[in-house]
Amino acid sequence: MSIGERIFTALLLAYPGSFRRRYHKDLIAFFRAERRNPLYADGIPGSVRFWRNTLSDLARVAASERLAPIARHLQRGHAPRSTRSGQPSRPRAFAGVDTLTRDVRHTFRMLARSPGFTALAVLSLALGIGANTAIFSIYSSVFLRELPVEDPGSLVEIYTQDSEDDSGLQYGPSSYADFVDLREQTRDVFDGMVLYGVTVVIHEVGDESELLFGEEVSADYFDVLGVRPALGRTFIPAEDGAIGASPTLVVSHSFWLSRLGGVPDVLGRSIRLSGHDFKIVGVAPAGFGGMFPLQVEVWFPITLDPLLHPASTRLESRGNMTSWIKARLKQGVAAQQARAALTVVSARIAEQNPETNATRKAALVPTDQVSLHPQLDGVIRGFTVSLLAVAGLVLLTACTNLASMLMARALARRREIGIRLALGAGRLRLVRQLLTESITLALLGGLAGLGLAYWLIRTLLAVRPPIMVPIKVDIGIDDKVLLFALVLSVLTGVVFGLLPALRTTRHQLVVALKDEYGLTEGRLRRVGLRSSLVVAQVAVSAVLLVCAGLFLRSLANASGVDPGFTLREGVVATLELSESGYGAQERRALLDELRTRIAVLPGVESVGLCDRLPLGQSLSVTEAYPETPHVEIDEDGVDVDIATVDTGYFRTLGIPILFGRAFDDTDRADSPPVVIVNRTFATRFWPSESAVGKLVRVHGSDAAPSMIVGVAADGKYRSLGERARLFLYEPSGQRPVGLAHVVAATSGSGEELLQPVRQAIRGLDSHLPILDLITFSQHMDLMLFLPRALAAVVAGLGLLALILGTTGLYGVIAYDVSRRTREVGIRMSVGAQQSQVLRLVMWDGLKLVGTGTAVGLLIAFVCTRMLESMLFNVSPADPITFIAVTVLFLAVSLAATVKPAKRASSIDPVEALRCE
Amino acid sequence: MRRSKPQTNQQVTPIGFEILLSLTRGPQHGYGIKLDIEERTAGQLSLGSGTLYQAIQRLERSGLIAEAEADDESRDARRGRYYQLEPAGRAAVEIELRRLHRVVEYARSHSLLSDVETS
Repeated sequence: MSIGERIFTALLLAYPGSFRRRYHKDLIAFFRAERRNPLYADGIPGSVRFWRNTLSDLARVAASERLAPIARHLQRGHAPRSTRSGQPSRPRAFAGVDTLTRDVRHTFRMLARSPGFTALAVLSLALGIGANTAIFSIYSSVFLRELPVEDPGSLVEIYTQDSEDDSGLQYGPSSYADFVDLREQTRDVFDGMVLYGVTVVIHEVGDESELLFGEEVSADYFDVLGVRPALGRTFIPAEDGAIGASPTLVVSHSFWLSRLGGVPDVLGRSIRLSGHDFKIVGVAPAGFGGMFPLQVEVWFPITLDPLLHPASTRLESRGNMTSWIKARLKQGVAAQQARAALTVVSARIAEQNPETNATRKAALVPTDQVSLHPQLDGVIRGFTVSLLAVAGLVLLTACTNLASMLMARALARRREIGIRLALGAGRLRLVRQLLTESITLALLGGLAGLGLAYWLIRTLLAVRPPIMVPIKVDIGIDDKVLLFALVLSVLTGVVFGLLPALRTTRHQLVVALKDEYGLTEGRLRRVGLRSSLVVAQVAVSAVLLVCAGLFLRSLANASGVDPGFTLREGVVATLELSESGYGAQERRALLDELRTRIAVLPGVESVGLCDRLPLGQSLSVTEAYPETPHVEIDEDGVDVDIATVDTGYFRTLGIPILFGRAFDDTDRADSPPVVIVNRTFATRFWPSESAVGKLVRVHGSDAAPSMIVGVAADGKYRSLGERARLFLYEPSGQRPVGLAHVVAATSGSGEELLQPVRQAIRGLDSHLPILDLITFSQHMDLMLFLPRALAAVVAGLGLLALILGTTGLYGVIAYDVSRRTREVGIRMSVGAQQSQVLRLVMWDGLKLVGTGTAVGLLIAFVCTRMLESMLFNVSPADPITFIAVTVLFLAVSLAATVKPAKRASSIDPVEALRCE
Repeated sequence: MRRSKPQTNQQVTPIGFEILLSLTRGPQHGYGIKLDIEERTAGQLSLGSGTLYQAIQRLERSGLIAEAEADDESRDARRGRYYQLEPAGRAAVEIELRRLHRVVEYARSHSLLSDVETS
């Protein structure tokens, strides 16, 4: 079922049950047929027209069906209105667009008259709708993403399952060699099988370089998927055969537009990727961004892999399982049949390659059952759906508030409405007018919310996630999201407008004109409904605020941790040297020269080099065998974290050397191997004596022993929350580095040093790939990225819920008080004191908040356990947070009830009784 | 103008009348009725699903049309239910056509329709 059909099916709920049940299937059949109507076949404009027509028809008929009994009653005896000539006849109660225009005009006049109310209403709706829309657009980009390929229904995913693999990955990627065998031997069930793997390449233009996502694909990738190039051609089979044949590539449409000017003569031109020239043979169609939800910009044959990654074993080794497989089922072949064939073939491959494939088999899942990955989908869906649920609750809160406000406004307008009813206005006409008001408000709110969602998404995508490659996740406001926002707005308008509208127009004329509204019906039942809404609001905001509080505390704790180094202002340049065509000797010379050039830049205090930054993304672990009499070391050694650093590293980062010395120029390849250990390492293996001068074998029990020349202070290496960890440094003079982080400490600001450092690197070698060039504080910010983002999002939602909950509480109490004027008057005339009335009203408010807070805290207590892994040094049942939230709610609820309570207690009993 | 008031008149709306007119050609499903009306009115009257089935509901309740039995092999069940004219519906069409005919005759004899005047 298409997304549109699902929405339509859901919208059918607008019809009365009897009508819906009778014609459900027919309406859907009609919808399907109409969707294929050539009238609407011109893309997005057609879709817009289709939905406009469908929705206006639905709204009109639903309203007239719902209100038909009232209409019949109220219009009996009225003269039928004339329809405008030439206009196709519509049900009489809904004659003509002119009434609607009048209503909308009237609405805008009403809204302009009370700008405060309008602003508040639009703002709270905008927040609610905006949050929902933003989250929906994320959901949509992952789960409602349609693969931009021909006939996705006949595609299947093929994964490798390895029973020996203990990583828990049941649907793993496959190796190139396995793919070739599978493709050869399953031609009877598949019309084609393609292999693709994501890769990162460095695109060089002049002195600048940027990282791009690329896909390495088998040559028939585009043909099998049915993707036709916008320009030129895709790959031909010959490009699959010869390993490392003349490099060709296909670029994405957006790359073509943004980097190549969108001119047609790009075919045959070369662009430079990761140090090699590639000839452009084609441009992919607009909107095609590969198989991952990433913006892939270039495609090249997987057989070019050795060229780009000289050390990679992607093509030869069956152990290198880094590529994904899709296949197209032959016409008439069921997935089950193909699965059986795959099982046979993969068993055969396992027989021929027992050492690698003995425990492997191929698994097949139809593509339309997979969004990202069979094992991930559930988790991500659960996460976004629960976010959507939270945002939905926030919106519901906004709705109930607006309903309260409208109810209060209706009280003020009861005379206007009474008079209009007395003058013969149909009830239907008035309900329609009031609904027009609320839907207009909601649409205004939706428009503002869409703007907000757009801004939220932009902000979200602009935030640099803590990884080096530029993720271009394809989240945006497309027609699905627009439709979602529109439907949500209209529904919101109906939800918060219908009840007040029906209520306002229900009462009898005489009562309304005599200003005795509200006395003719019992109070308790309706207040009960509204009260439970307030309780729910308070509970929701309590849960959100507890979560927000926990994240904020966690953030504060994380920012306060001593990372073990003192560097704050500086620059980190990350260079990839192993793929730049330099040998080990040249690399060392190059880095030496680079350090010298950076060291003389103005403001630079010292320069250091390492292959792994503390709190960075790379991680290396090795086995060490300390020669110590104090601790038993078994044959596997001990696992230690390790980094290769140069002579300036400790000084630059500001890591104190506690005993011994730092590395110096005497630590060369031809001198005896040395290492520096951290304090944890030293005291663990030599608890009672100095570790300096002791021996340790690194990388294996048969390695030559290295002498410990220094002991460095402990620090945080992988994350701020970790416990003390064993760490070991090796000198770059004895171990060449591949990936190099060059760190420069400055007395000025890191920001100002970025450009000079870039120029220094470019001056040395304009083709040297700079993977990353950031300030050191940016590097540190990445560590705090997740806690900050979580705290900001949850705190924002919690605050929103708190504001909405408080105004809701205020609305309920104020409304209640205004209805109880007479009761209060009677109480006071029989001797109740002002203070007693004050207490009575405030007690009513506190009961609601108390119940809500208690429920919320209880839910929070149960739920926050799930956050434990994301918290830093904070217990999920952190008493401070829970107490703070409770106090906050009591204070806020007192504030919200004080004003109405004061008003109630200042009622003059005589006036109160007389006016009724 | 005097108007006779037949016993079977059910106050057929213009949309209802168009539907009845379409069904004079034989049983048809909802979307088929819509297409037929569009063709006949040269696109002047294009019905949405709600409007169409609302009118169908009224006609069914008045006994002017009824669901057709699905005996025909050529029918496509996915299109939804088929409807056919009841005797009362046929009568209603006739009454309305006669009324329209009288109106047109009157208009002709008084030269009110100069531009459409034909022999």
